[in-house]
Amino acid sequence: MTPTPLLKVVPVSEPEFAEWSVHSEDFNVWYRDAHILNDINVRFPAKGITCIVGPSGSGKSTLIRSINRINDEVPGFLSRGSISFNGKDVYTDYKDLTILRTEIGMVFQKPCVFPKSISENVLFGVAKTRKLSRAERLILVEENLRAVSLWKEVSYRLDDSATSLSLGQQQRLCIARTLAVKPKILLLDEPTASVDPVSGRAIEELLLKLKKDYTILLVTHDLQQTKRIADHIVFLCDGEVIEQGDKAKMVTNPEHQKTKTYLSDSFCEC
Amino acid sequence: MRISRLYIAGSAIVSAIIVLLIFVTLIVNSSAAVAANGFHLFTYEWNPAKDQFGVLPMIFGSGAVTIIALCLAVPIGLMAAIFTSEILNPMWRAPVKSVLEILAGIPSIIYGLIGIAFFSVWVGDLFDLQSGRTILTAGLLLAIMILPTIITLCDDALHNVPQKYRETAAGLALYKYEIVKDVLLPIAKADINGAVLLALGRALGETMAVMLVIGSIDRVPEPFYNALSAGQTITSKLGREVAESAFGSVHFSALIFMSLLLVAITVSLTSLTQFYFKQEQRLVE
Amino acid sequence: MSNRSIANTAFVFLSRLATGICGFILVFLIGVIVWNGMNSMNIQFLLSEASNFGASGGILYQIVGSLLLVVMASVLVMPVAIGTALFKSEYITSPALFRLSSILIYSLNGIPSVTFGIFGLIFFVNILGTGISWFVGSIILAMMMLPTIVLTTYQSVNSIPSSYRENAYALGLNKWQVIVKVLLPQSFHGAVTGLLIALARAIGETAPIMFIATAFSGITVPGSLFDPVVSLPTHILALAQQATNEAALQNAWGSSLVLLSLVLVFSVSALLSRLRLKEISQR
Repeated sequence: MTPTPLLKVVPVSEPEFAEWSVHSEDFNVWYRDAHILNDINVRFPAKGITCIVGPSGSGKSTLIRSINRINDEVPGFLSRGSISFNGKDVYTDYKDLTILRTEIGMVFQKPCVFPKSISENVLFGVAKTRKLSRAERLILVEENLRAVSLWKEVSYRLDDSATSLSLGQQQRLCIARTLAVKPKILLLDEPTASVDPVSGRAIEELLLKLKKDYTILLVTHDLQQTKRIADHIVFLCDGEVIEQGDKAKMVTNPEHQKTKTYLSDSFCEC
Repeated sequence: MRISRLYIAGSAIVSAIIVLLIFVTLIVNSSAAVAANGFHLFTYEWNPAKDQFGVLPMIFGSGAVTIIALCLAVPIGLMAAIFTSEILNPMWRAPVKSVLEILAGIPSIIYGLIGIAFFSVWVGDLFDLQSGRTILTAGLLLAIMILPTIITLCDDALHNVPQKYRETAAGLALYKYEIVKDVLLPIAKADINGAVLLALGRALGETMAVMLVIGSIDRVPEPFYNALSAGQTITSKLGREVAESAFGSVHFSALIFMSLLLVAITVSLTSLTQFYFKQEQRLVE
Repeated sequence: MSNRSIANTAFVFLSRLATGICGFILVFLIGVIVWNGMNSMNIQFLLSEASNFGASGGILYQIVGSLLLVVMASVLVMPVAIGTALFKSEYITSPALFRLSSILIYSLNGIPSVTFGIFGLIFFVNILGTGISWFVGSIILAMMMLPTIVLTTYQSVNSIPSSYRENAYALGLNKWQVIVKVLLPQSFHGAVTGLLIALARAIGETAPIMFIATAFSGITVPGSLFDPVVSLPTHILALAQQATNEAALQNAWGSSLVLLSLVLVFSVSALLSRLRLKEISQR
């Protein structure tokens, strides 16, 4: 009789996805003297929604802002380690940031429309990349406004100023504007935090619709939201990745006590 | 309590009276020239000996030097402001602004001295002129004088555009120049216009530096776009002749009339500027 | 490289170029003034009387005269400026009056300096018959300084949160006590900053005083308020007009360096004072 081994070697559970779209290796960020991210090793699966959760100040915004290098402009920003996207290092292989940013689009916490018309806002990024004919413009505007379910609400007033929209509509317009550039990855930094609950739900449904075509990385502090829409969860605490995995595992059977406490009580001792 | 109110109301009234007094004095003293010459004030001949007081050459001169100054200073100043606000490491912004403020504080008479000692000599040598004291020299000197004002105010205007616009535009894969051209400049436009108007007012009112380098000849150059000939601005005319003319004479009055024109223009410019800059609100907590 | 990235590179280059030009101008201006000024600078120059129409001798009395003009102007302007600022901030309730007061102050700020001189010449020298004197020069400079000081004082009074006033009233203080005990101590720094900024401008002004306050030479210290003075800016003007005379030009550079140093003393103090002001307001 062979004794059952007391210790069984369990392989570190890694969700099995066909491809990794973005992953980081020992990625560190400092703002002046403050060490914000500490040896981050994360892998974001392609397609689907990955929610990055964690208490405020845990560095979740900093992490996604580092992916398309929006942080570069912040005074005192310093990074070490690497973030790879499609096998290329974001920090060394992209001389021209605009190329990186056409592939990785971003939507910010506060909706920020430009003081121009609604259709000009939709076309704002894409019109720079190539010459658009009148017909193309119309198609692009309609297509992307439909994608964010805004078309019905604004189709009759595309030339109105975008600032006349409600905050929730503005945020959806921001998403449409980002989609128009045709990125491969969508970064969203708490996109529902500053809009009303109804618009928040609308945005969630929109993301669920988009997830089959896009890799969506969503920073949120709303755990209900995470449970509703996430496929994959990364839990950050105090600048370190505590745990990552698919939703079912993270919610029902997390490895770390901290993850368990945070995901059930939204409380964290770190 | 009553004395205190008297003091505060009194000082406000004194301030108001000062402004009104200046206008009234100028209007009263220019009336003699208007009465004697009427519309002949707006002709090209200025010759006190023949009782001719045409102010057009001076108006032309003021306009010409101001246009030259703005054409040089606005593009350079705006580009430099874009550098200090958008490209330069923010750490350096405060020291650069302090230096600009100091530069703006150099008294105009010192600019005049530098104009005489260097600029007029250079312009004279470069274009092989008998005298380097020309409209172009004055315009050049003025451009340098208003440059710090334009840079500081345009830098403020750009800097006041919230950071979120820059990040959003960068997130949409725009280049820096597209962000500046298509996002920041349109948003900061009102403040930049205000800055240019303010600089315009300064340039029109500048006296000492212009007076020393413009050559002081009361005629419109032939042809009028020949900036390499001597000219006269309203301010340089005033600076040179007010002390020489007899108080109460038509000559004196004609000078005051020009001064009134100048004040009317600069005051309306500065009031206009006020509408461009936003008013500060009291903090209510 | 794409067209866009070429345009971007060109744009960044142009803005660097423009800044480079500005930097070059800065270095040139300061360099010229300091270099030429140092050549004529010595103790003798600072402490002796001008002679030979300024072409030889020093500038002692010009320095003294300039300081006398601005000190007297400060004494005249401060009470009026603070009163006006308080009026604007604490007493005006109607928006129309507020608008009018702003327009008046900005108008005063927009009047060209030479016009102040002309106004002084007509109103004080000729109509009131004061003659060319220190006093008239100071009054006119005080008028020019007024808007700057009113605006900075107003801003610092105005930035005091209304809760301070409400608390003070709740403690039973009347309006004047609120002003003296609460508002003035809090905004004193703003007034001083404004004064320093205004002084830095006023001491270099030539056009407003050249008709009404100064004589070219032969004057030491004015015997009374109603005597003419000599001043640095008008001294430089006179010397600059005889620019063909080497010695005169040399002394003009020396005077310019001294004048610029005085301006710098005021503007650097204003800068420091403003930094301190920021600290106070952030507390």
